Formats: sequence, structure tokens, C-alpha cells
Amino acid sequence: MNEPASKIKIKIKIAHLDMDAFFAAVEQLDEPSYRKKPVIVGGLGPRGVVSTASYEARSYGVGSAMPMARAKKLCPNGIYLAPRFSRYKEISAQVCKVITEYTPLVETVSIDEAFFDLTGSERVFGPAEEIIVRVKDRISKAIGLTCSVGLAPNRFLAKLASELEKPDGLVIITEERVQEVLDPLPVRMIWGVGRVTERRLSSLGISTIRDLRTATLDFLVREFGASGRTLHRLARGEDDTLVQLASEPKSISREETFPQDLYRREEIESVVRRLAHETATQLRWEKLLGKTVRIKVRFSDFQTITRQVSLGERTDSGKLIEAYALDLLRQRVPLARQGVRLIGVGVSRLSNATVRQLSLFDDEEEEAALEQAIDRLSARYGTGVVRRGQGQEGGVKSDE
Amino acid sequence: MDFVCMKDDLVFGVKLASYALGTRSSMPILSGLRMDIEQNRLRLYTTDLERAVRCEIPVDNRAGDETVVLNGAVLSQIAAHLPEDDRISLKTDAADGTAVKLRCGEALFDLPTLPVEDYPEIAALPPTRIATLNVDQFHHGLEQTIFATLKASETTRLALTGVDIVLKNNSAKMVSTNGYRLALKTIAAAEIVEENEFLIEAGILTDLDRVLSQIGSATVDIYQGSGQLFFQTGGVTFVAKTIAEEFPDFDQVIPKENTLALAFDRLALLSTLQRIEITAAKESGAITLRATQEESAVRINSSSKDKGEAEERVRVKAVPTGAIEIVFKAGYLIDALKRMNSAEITLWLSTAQKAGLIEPSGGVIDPLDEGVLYVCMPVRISD
Repeated sequence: MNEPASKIKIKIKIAHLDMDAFFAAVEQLDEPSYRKKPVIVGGLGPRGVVSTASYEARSYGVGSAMPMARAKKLCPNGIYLAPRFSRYKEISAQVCKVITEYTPLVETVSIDEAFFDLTGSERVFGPAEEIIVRVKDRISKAIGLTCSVGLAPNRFLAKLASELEKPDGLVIITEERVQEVLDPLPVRMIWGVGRVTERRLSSLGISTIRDLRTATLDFLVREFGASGRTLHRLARGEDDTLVQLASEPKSISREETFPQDLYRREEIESVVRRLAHETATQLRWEKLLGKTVRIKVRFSDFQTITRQVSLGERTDSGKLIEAYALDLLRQRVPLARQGVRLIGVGVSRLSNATVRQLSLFDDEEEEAALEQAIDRLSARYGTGVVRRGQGQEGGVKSDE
Repeated sequence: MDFVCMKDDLVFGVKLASYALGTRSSMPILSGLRMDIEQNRLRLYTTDLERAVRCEIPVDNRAGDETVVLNGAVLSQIAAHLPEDDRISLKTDAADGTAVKLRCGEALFDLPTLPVEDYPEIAALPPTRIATLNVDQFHHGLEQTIFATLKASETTRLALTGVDIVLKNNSAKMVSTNGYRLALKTIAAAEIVEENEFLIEAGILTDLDRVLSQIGSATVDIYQGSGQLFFQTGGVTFVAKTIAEEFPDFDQVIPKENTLALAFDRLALLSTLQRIEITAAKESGAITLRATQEESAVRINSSSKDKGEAEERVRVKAVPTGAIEIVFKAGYLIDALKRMNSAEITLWLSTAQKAGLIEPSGGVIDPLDEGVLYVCMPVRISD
């Protein structure tokens, strides 16, 4: 060892866990007749998009973010289901519980994905390499689902490792093997390298991570500015971002990208209404109230507008969030000739739902009972099964 | 243009007109103050399209009729700093009419004009007067309602940014709400010619109130235009844009069957609330009121993790006829108590989930509190 004794390096052990085809796998778990069959979960409406396809469905060429209509053409015999978020959340919480038995340092990235830091766990539970085997095993036995896990000296490599042998993968990248693993991989395996960057790199003759690693820092900075520096570091497997501890969510939002741009105002408004109610459902599910409503609209030229407004008092009422989201759309978003490719609705400035300022004009009791009934039905039969009539305008005034 | 007028007249006119000066950079012409000279009268006019002020002052006209538009903000500043002299003269720069010379005492200003043709048209006073209100009462009504609105810059719900004025049964009802509390004031009208209801943004009403207070007339006449109301008094007209939204059905949310009366010394309750609010949770401002049939007092307390807790007993006039524990946002109660004037107020309650009502009470109700009422929804605490 070249390290002086005073600078003994602690070996960081970060794991990344990704549930395999999560939504579809849960459906197959709950309904045995779906097992071994192509299951596709996503929006079932005319413009629905695939959220998750089971591995059986993927063999037909069905993938996430694909328009439902196209999936149905590729896989006409597939089982098509609307997502049941509350059920997925339940399972997600169970998975999280397994992990937290080994470390308190868990960062849930999304409903089916988490980072966890096992550096300090080794003294208590043994080598991290063994802990992840136990975690995988328990998720498989106790819950009945498979996942892919990566273990590495940092977050970037851990995530990359978990992606290498999906499904049911377990890949460990040790410090010594970093370059060996990275070098042959295509550049798009790097965090933040999307289609655009990939194309630009390719035009510069860079297609593998090795190519990127051998490019000079000066060259990358000249071509890509500040992100050139990041590319230079990631190509070497360097990443010092920490596992972000689970904290109270700062905002809750839902967004949707359309396979074909939307032009008609009624269509756009109906998406806003739906996303507002989905956001409210999640607020109630998490027992939170939000004070600021925000909408996001991305146009066909990728120009993106976000607008937000304060509610005065916090709420989880879908009716109110819908009313404000529509106000923002109508008053502050110029829907000119451009098509709309993405719409998002969210709320922020969240607080605990145990303290609630009651409203003068909305019958909160009645409203809450109605919305909770919808939540329960959606939890059981999938979102979209029950929906409010669209004639209803929220808030305390009419909108016209 | 060439005229001389009394300095005080022009200063007064410019000051009134400045309340409707536009500030939007998208329409620079609205930062202009329009002056129309017609024989021996000078008419001053400003508008930001939401409100407009028009007033007239007598002048000694030495040339023909003419219209110019000058920078209103500059003119206001000049008006505030004129030297000692009782007269002021304005004269178009003869050369091309693109500048005006303003002279007062030894001071001389050369002011560029703005293009008259760009200035928006002035709406004529509509023929029908619909009501006449007593200025003093109207002022108190505004004072006791405007505070309960939301600021126009902070919301998209236009109806909540205004005060609803209902002219009916020989009285004017003024109502405002932010959706969680509501302030209502009923004043006797000097005359109602035509019953109607209008919603006007609070900021515009604040400016109207200021203009009316400068004029000092006893009454103001109201005329109805299209999408706007004209308030006229003492040769001054204030035009206010109305909000084309339906105001929420306020009558239905005013509690009519609250039987638990808690009569407080207003100032004692106010200062207690201000103290207890210190330790209330920041997000909710929640304070708890507890009344029992055992003592003629109400216990008020608050607590929050980071700030601590506080409790205080406030005397009520009589032992409550029932027990209740109810939570309010302290700020909502404080807002109302601050704007009342009577020594005693009563908080009328029914259940912990229903609206409370505050009104002045006791033997002597302050005349300023005639017809005032405040409704506030509680905060619900659940597990």
C-alpha cells in the first residue's frame, strides 16, 4: 500500500437496487394467471403510454414510454392494465423496510429504485457483498419479486452495475475493476448522457467510455463546457455525490409526455385536470397538504414554461388544485400555434395533513369523503377507473 | 397652449391624477398625464386601464383649446417641489409643440410631450346614476373589508382579490373573503337608484379611498358604465374597472345558528392572541381556544416543536353556556379584532368544525362598527 498510515482509505460501499419490470411484476405477483405472460402496464386511454412491460412483453419489442397503440400492434395478445400506484407503493415500502434493516442510509430515487450506503454496515452485518445477496434473497422470498442490485465504490458506478445484468442481476464493481468494466461500455451508460450528447460525442469519434476517458479534459471542456468536466470524471468512474437521506418530499408532481403533440385546448385542459387529481391523490396518500400549485408546459420546440401560484392555505383537495392549475394554464400560459408535448402539475411547500385550515365555500368533509372514496376505488381497480365528471369546476367561483 | 392657473389648484389636480398613473413598461403612454384645455378649464386625466382619475381646475387660457400629454411621474415630482409663488404657467414650445414650458416663480421646466394620438380614449360619464353613498361610511366600510382579500399579484382567483359591493334595500353591503375568512360591512346608502352588485379589486378601492379622502366631500355619486363604475364627487371622477367574476355566495356561509357566545374585552383578547401567536406553528398559525361551563374565562394556547408553548386565560363576560375546544389561525382573528373599534366583541361558535362569527357587542357599540361582521373557519387537527 502506498497510502501513508494516517490516510487509510475507508472503502466506500454503495449499493443500487432496481426492481425488475416493477409495475408489471407486481401485477403478475397479485394475479397468478398473468405470470409468464406479456403484461403491459400504462395509460389505457387513446393516448396512453406504456409505463412498464414485463420481460415477456419486452420480447415482443414492447418498451416503456411507447404509445399503447403501438404496443398493442406489437403484442396483440398482451394483458393491458392501468397502474395501481397505491399497491406499488405498498410493495415499495416493504422493499425499503428490508433495506433499512441493514442500513439507515437509504435514498429512494423513485418507487422502484433506491441507493443505500453499506460502508458502515459491514462491521455489524459482514461484507457488503454478502449483505446485498441477503437483501435480494429476502425480497425474493418474502415479497416474491426479483430485483437487480449493483455494488460499487460510488453512486454512479452502483447504478451502472445494477443495469448490467438485468433482470435478477447482481454486479459488483470493485475499485480495481472500475476501468475494466467501464471501458468497453457505450457512452450512453454514463449518467446524464442522453441522445443529444451521445450524438455529439459520436460525431467527435467518441463512442465507448474508453474513447471518452482518453479524450483530454481541455478538449471536453471546450466541446461541452462545464459538463465536459463531469464527463471526464465519470469516464474514470469518479463520483463523490452522497447517498441522499430520505427527507420529507419538497414537492409532489405528475407529468406526462405525449406520443403526439396536443393542440386542442380541451385536450390540454383535460390532461391538466387529470394530473391535478392524481397529484391530489398522492398528497392524500402521503398525508400531506401543499400550498403552491405549479404547472409545467413543454412545447413542441422544447421551450418549457412553468407557472405557479400560492393557495393562501394548504390543501389536498383535487378540486382546488385542479381549479388553480386551470387558472394558471388559462391566465399565464400562451397556447399559441405550438403543439404541447409535455404537461406537468405539481404542488410544493408541503406540510403534514394533520393540521388543516377549513375552507368557507368548499364542503371539505363531503369533498374529502368523495375524493377518498375515489382513492380507495383507484387503489383497488387502478387509476382512471373512477373519475370526476369534467363539468365540475373547482374553487369558489365559476371559471368563465 | 398657453395658460396661467393657481399653483394650489394644479398641485391638487396632479396629486389626484397621480393615483391612476400607469407604471407598466409595456404601455409607456399610460405613464402620461393628459391635459385638455377647453376655454377656461383644464381637465387632467390619467389611467392605467384598471382605474382612471379625471378632474378639472380653472385656468386663465391665453390661447386656443389644446391637448397635451406630459410625463405624469415627473409632473408629480415637480408639483411636490414648486417654489413659493401662487401662480404657475404652462406654454407650448411654439416651434413644434413637442415640449411644454412650465414656469413657477423663478423655476423653469422644459418638459417633452408624449404623443396625444397614442393616449387611450376617455370613457364618458354614463348617464345613469345608480347610487349615492356617504363618503365617511364608505371609507370605514373599505377599511373593514379590504384587509380580508387576497393580493392580485398572489392569486389567480380574481373574485378573492376584490370587495363585492351589493347595492340593495337602501344600503350598501361590502364583502370580501380569501376563501377561509370573510369580512362584511353594511352601510346605509344616501340613495340607491338602481339595485346592483359589483366586484372591484382591493388595490383599486384603496386608491379610490385615498382620492375621496383628499376631496373631502360628504357624498359620492356612483354611475354604472360598461365593465366599470364611475365615482363622482366635487368635480372629480374616479373610474374603477369591475371584476367580471361571480363572487361566492357569501350569505350562505354566514353562520345563523351559532349559540355559544363568548363576549370578550376586544383589546384584552387581541393582545392575548398576539402573545399566544408567538409560539404557534409557522405553517398553520394555529391557536386553541378552550371554553368550559365551569368558569367565565377562555383558555387560549399554542405550541410548536421549535418555538415552545404558551397559554393564557382571557376573561369572558359570562360563564359559557356550553363547552368547546376550537382551533383558529391566530392571524385571522387578529386581523378582524384590529379593524373593529368597540370595547366589547362576541365570538359566536357552534362546533369545532364550523365557522365562528365575530361581531361587536355590549351596551355601547362604536358607531364605526355599525353593520360590521366577520366570519372565520377553524383549523382542523386530526391524527
